[in-house]
Amino acid sequence: MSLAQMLKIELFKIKRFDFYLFAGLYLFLIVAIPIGINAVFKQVLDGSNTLGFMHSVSIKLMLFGVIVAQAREYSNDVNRKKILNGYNRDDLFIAQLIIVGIYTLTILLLSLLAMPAIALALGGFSIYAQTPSFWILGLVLSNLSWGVFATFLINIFKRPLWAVLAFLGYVFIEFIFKILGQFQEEKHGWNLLIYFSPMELFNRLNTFENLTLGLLLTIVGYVLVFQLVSLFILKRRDF
Amino acid sequence: MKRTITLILIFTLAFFGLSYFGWKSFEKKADIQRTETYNQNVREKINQLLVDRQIPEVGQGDALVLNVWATWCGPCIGEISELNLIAKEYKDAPVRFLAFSNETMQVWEVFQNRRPEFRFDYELLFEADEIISFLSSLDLENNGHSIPIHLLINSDGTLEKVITGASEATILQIRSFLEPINQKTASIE
Repeated sequence: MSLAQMLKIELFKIKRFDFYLFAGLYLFLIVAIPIGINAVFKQVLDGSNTLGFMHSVSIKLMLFGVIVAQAREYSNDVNRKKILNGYNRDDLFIAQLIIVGIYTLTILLLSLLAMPAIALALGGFSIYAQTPSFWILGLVLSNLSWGVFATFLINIFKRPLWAVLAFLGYVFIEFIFKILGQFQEEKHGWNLLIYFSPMELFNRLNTFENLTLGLLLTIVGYVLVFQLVSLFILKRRDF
Repeated sequence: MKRTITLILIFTLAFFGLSYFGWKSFEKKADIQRTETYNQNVREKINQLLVDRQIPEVGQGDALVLNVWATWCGPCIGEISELNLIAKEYKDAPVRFLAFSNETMQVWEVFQNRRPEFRFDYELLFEADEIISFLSSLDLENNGHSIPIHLLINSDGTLEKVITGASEATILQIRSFLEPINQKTASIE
C-alpha cells in the first residue's frame, strides 16, 4: 500500500467523536484558561506563560488522544481485518506514525489559531515579544516525541486503560528520579538519572532549555527505540 | 521492511536535525542574553530604583553583595548567620551588603518579636518588589523562581555572578568574590 493511500485512509478515520473532542478540548483549554485567569484574578499572563501552558496541555492531550486513536485498531479485530484486506505488518506501523503526524499537525494548527485570539484578549501581540521563533519547532518536536511514546505504550499494552496506568506509573518513577537527581546534582554537580526520564527530556524540547548534546542524543535514542520496539511488536504479535 | 526501516531512519534523522537546530538557536539566544545581562551597569539601575528609599545610593567603585530573601524562607534565614560574619569582616571595605524582601516592615517586626535574638546585618529594604523583579530578571538560570538569590556586583557595576540557594558553596563563592577586594584594601592600608 502506498503512503498516499495510507494517509488518505488515516485522514478519513479522524472524522469521529474522540478526535473532535481532542481538538475541541485543546482549543478550548488553551484559549479559555489564560483569558479566564486574566479576567478573574486580574493577573496578566505573559507570552511565555501562555505558550508554556499551551505546551503542557498539548502533550497530555497528545498522549491520551493518540492512545485512544491507536487503541481502536486493537479492538474488534481491526488489525487482523486490515492484514486480511492487504495491509502488511509494516503498513500497520506506518499507519500509526501517520496518526501521530496528524495529531501533531492538528496541535500545531490549533496553536497557531489560538495565539492571535489569546493575544487580542490579553492586550496585544507584544505579549509574544520575548518568544523566540523556534518555539513552534519545540512544540512540534515535543508533541511528536510524546506521540511516539504513546504509540509505544499502546503497542505494548493494547488496552488504553493499561497504557494510561503504565504512563502514570512511570510518571511516579520519574518523580522519584527527579528528587534523587536533585540530591545527586547538589552533591556531585551532575545528574545521571535525567537520562532515565524520557518524559522530562521530551518536555525540555519545548523550549530547548537545560539541554546538552548528550541529552539531545538520548532523546533521539528514546524516539528511535520506541519506534523500533513498536515495529517489532507489530511484526510478532498474533492479532 | 526496507521501506519501513528507511522511513524510521529518515524520521529519526530529521527529528535529530531539527532538535539540534532548535537547541543551537536557543544556545545562541541565551549567549546574547547572557552577554547583555553581564555587561549592563547593574549598580546604576539599582541606584535608580533606590531613589526615595531608606537605603542611600551605592557609590562609584563600591562592589555589591545583594540578597533576595523573605522571613518565611527557611534556607534564607538559615544562612544569615554566615552572611552576617562576612558583612562584619568587610565592614570597612569598599563593598555594600544589601538585602531585599517583598514583605512589609510589619511582617519583619512581628518576625523579630518572635525571634528577638535574630538579626540581619545587611542593609535591609522591605516592600522592594520593583528591585526584586529587576534582580530576578538577572537570574537567567532559574528566572528568579526560587530564593534566596545572591547577586555579586563588581566595583565597575557589572554583574559578576548570580547564585541561587543557600549552601556552603554559596558562602564560599561570596567569599572568593570578596577576596580580591580584601587584598586590595590590605595593600592600600
